[in-house]
Amino acid sequence: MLLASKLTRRLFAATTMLGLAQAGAAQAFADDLVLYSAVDFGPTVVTAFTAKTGIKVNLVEPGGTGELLGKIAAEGSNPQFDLVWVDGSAILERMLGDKILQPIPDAIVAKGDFTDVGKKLVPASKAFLPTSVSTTAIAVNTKKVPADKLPKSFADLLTPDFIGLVGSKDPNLSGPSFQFVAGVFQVMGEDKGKDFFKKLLTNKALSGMKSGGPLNKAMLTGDAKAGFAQDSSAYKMIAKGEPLTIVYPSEGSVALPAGIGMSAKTKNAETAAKFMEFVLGKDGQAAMQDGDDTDYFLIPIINGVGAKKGRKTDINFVYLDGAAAGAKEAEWKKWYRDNLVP
Amino acid sequence: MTAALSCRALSKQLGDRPVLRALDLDVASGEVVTLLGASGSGKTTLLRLVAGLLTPDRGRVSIGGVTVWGAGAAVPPERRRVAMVFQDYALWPHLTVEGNIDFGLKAARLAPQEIVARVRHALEVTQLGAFGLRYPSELSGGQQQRVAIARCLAARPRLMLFDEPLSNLDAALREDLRTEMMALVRAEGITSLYVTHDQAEAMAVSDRIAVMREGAIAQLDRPEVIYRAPADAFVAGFIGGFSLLPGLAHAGEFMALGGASAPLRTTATLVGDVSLVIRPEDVRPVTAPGVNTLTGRVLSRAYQGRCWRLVVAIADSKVRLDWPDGPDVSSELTFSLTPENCTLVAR
Amino acid sequence: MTTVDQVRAAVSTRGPNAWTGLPGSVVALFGGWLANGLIALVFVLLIVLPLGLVLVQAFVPMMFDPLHPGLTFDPQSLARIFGEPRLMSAILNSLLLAGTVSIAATTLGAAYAFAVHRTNVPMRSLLLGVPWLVFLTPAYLKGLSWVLLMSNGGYLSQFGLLPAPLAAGFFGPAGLVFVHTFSLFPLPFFVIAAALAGLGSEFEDAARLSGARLGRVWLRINLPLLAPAFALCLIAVYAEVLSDFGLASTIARVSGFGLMTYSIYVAASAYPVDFALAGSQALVLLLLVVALVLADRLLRRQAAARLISGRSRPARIYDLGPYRWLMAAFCLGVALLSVVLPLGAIVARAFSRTLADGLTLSNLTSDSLLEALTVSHPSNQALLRSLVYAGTAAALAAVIATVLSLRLDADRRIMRPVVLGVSLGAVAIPGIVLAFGYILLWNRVPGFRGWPLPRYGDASLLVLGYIGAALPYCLVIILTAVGQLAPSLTDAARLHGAGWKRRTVQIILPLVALSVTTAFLFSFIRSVFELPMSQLLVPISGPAAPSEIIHMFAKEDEGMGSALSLVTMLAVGLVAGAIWLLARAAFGRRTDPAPVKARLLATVESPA
Repeated sequence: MLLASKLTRRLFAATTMLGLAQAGAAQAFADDLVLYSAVDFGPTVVTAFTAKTGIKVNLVEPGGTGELLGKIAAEGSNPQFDLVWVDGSAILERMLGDKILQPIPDAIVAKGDFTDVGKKLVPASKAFLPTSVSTTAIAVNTKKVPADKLPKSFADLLTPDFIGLVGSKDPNLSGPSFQFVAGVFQVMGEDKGKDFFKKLLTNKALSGMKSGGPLNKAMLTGDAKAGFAQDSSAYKMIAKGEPLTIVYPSEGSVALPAGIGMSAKTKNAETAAKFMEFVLGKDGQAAMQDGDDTDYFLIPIINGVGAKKGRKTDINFVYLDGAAAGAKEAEWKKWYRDNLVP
Repeated sequence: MTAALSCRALSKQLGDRPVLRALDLDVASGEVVTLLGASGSGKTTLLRLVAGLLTPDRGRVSIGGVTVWGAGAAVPPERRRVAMVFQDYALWPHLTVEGNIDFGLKAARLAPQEIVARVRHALEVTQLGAFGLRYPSELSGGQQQRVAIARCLAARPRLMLFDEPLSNLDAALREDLRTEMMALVRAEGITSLYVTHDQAEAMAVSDRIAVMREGAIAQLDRPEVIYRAPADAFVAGFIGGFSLLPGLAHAGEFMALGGASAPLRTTATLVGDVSLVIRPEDVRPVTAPGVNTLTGRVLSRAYQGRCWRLVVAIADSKVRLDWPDGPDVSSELTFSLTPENCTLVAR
Repeated sequence: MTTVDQVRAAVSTRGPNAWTGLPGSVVALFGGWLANGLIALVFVLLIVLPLGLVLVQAFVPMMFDPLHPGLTFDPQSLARIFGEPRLMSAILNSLLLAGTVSIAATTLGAAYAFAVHRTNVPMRSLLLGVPWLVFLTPAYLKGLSWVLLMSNGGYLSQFGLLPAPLAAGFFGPAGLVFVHTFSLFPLPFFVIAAALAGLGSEFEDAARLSGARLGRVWLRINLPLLAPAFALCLIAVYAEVLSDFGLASTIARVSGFGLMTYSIYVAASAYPVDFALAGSQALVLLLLVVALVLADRLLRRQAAARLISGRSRPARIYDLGPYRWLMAAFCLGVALLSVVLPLGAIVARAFSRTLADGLTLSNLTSDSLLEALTVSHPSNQALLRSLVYAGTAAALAAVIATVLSLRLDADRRIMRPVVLGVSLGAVAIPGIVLAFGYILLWNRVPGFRGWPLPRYGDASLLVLGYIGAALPYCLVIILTAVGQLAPSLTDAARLHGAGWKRRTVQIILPLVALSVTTAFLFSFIRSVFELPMSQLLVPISGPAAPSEIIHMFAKEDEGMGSALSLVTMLAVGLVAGAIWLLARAAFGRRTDPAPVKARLLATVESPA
């Protein structure tokens, strides 16, 4: 009887493994498009694409951006995806530099009827195809800060009302946060920028948030009055009824594009092209806003496409000097870690 | 059918300690030989070598004339048809009494009727008939050991090994179970190798005793012979109850060291530095003065029902005596020994 | 005897093997070597190779570089660790935290095990379930629950139960130690409960007859006999704490108490991933555990006591009299802090719309839970997938660990401590490193790339990853159980003609069956909630449950995330509970000491 149960367990395990193997093998890898995505609207766009064209897309979402990057980094020179869709330009440029991505064919880029902002976001190297943009701005808890006291610039934050009460994400752990910090350094100059952060972020419990979630929590139920949050995230909270508002600092907000990169080793170039064209078209753009998660509150960069109601789109964008930021990345991240992370 | 055991030049080293040194031993078919010794003497190691649970560094083991280890042979324990009664009984806790007994029989793929018959017989002879379906944890120590014996008997081994089987039982039980156990062994006539450190037990069960010291056999002989004529001081000291009195022997006379007594006449022929072996039951009160007497001082006394056991100090030695009455402690005591009872061993 | 002699000897004593016609013994001999080789191979493939590929990059950073792969030796990342004061202090902090928690959790687990298994505490069956419930709750959920309870706007302060200094002091090392202790005590509980089961009363009885009082008996006799079990618990919990990142980043937000795992996550959270730095840090973590294992081996010279013997005597149950209610209060206190409060907070959150509005009637909603229970919801498909993957992985891990343990028990001197040390070292390394290792091994290394099974991108590799992550725990549990068997039991079986197969199946396996089942359930539960593997090795056919749940939390949909977690826990709990009851019915009665009541009544040994 013991023998039976032990044996049964082994048999069960073995048959399940075989079954899974069959299932895995049955999935024809060769022809289906594989899309690695860390953007919220991935599923809706894929569904819409398949509905319109009948082409199956395998959507792989490892989790957050961090996990996605880790997976791609580990895959290295043997990438298993055709397309990758993430927030952040620097990352995609690096991947192109590592020959994991290939430049987006000019023909596809030409298909996009980009706004001025959009045109500025298309990289010279064609490392990625920009699909939308957002930025990091100052989110403020309206219950804690009356309307007349709202800051209008970074400089406005350096008052006793806000010092030590502003939350910020750790650029070591959050890509958009690094882009934000680099942007501040670009706008203010490195030394003044460092000075600014040191003067403002005196509460280490608030200055090294892992991601947007804890930051929002700190602003809503914790000690922070305001925070440097991704504006689409704030819009989502506002839509839910949370007492937040967004302030775009007069000094300027660094643009954070979302983009699609194409694998250097893809065997599905044609299907990939079809997908990218779909994203640039009306149906794709509509699908990209068909939801209420963070990324759906994007700023479109295709002419004729409007953003969600209430979502501010005319923002004083700062375009990050990718090369300069890339060169100083390790140094700046270390500085932040040594000075502002608990 | 039972078989003879033959060990030749067995050597075994455990770690950096030599445990057995080129040991020879022959056990005739149907004979019971006991390995008697203190811990560290190598007796349990020898037993495990015979069982096959350990392998010798050098030497040969043969059972029933067939070499099972050495000279190219290496028969594993599973195939030696040797059974063992363990000190901790080694009953499988998840099997019933019957399950414990028929485990080996099923492994040997005997016919079901044969298995049933053997199990029934084994339970009968060990008086465990009512306990067949119980689990070991539900039995007392004595019952558990009987199951262990029944398990061995049912297997009809060629050779039975006993590893201090009675040391975990209380004294009253020990003698009864010992008698039962050996009656069964004798009835079936199974060749047995018995290990114990209890000399009384050894003498009671064995045809021959091998007194072991530091990996070698000090004396291998019938119990009576060892008792009457121990080969040397170690053996004499080991046979419990004997006392040794150092002295010098010369031409049929023995003079104890310390010079406290007159020389004793002895029939032993040994000369030189010797020890006198005094068996407690051999001493007599002095009837005629001056005839082979020794004098000492009583250190302690213990009533044993049949007699008193005294410990008497003679010069620097302590001597154990059985005495008809119990003199006071610190009183002087004189006793006599007949010359035939003055056994000498080399010192 | 030389090998040739052995072979010749073997040939002469056994008949020819039916399959190959070769002498049976020759087959057996080579079969033995083959078996050992296969076992080693499996262990290497599942744990050593994947980890090794990441660790080796501490010395050879360009090994997997996409542009210029190379094998040049360059240990600069490793050197950096010892050069930077911040990293050095992180090592010290990690050690301090791990050491404190390991002592606290082991003490708590041992006390609880003693209370439940060796005293006549009331509500025993109920109390026995608490460690399982704690274990069933995934770590991220525990962290979340304490944040929900202890933050300024959290549940405890809403009920006015939270004094301000307690709230402030909680989110630091003290609170972290507290949460870790109450979430990790199940492992010591299981290990020590198993050891106590084999600790018969005869050792105690002997000591008491020598005049020692109860306290001394425990201090000088029983605890030293349990020392190997204690050592194992201390090291295992220590390793677990070393590898934690989630709880630390949630709870210990303030206070400058930086930990090693932070640095690993920094290295792993950008593109490109700094494998060299991650590998160096992981190597340090590994060495911290191996050092402890070696120290334990050197300090505790004697081998573990073999407590499951063929001389079955039931263990003593202490009758506490009126004090048993005090003991019950202690156990209930533990239950409150480890299960009731945390799960209560999660349930409350699952039924509320927002945290800020608290537990008011208007805030209560069953929407999240109803959505979570809809079968067609993608997360439920993920749940079903998880149950299958985790079940398969757990079964295979338990089988592999059992075979490995049986083989290792024969070679106690070298192989056993090595395998145990490596396994515990693997526990200390954050799961994300192992996950990276799997991608590197099965996607980059030539020779492994093209295998049909397991296949990268497939569920088969995810299952393999689960097995690799669960194997160390299975090994620890099963090795301990096998190690407690008295050798005379297998000696007796050999002498009665049982070959290794019969011995293993009919004698050894039944006696360790409950432990194997425990290992299986452990692995099953862990694998269902195994996060890094599920994320990095996500199959193309669809994600497993943990990714879905974390996704909800990342979207800040805590209500939905909590509801999903609860549904998952319920499903896993039901399956696990059913399996445990089946196993108990099949193997439990006979290898356990006699039932409690019988022992209390039978205080006098019956005569022969």
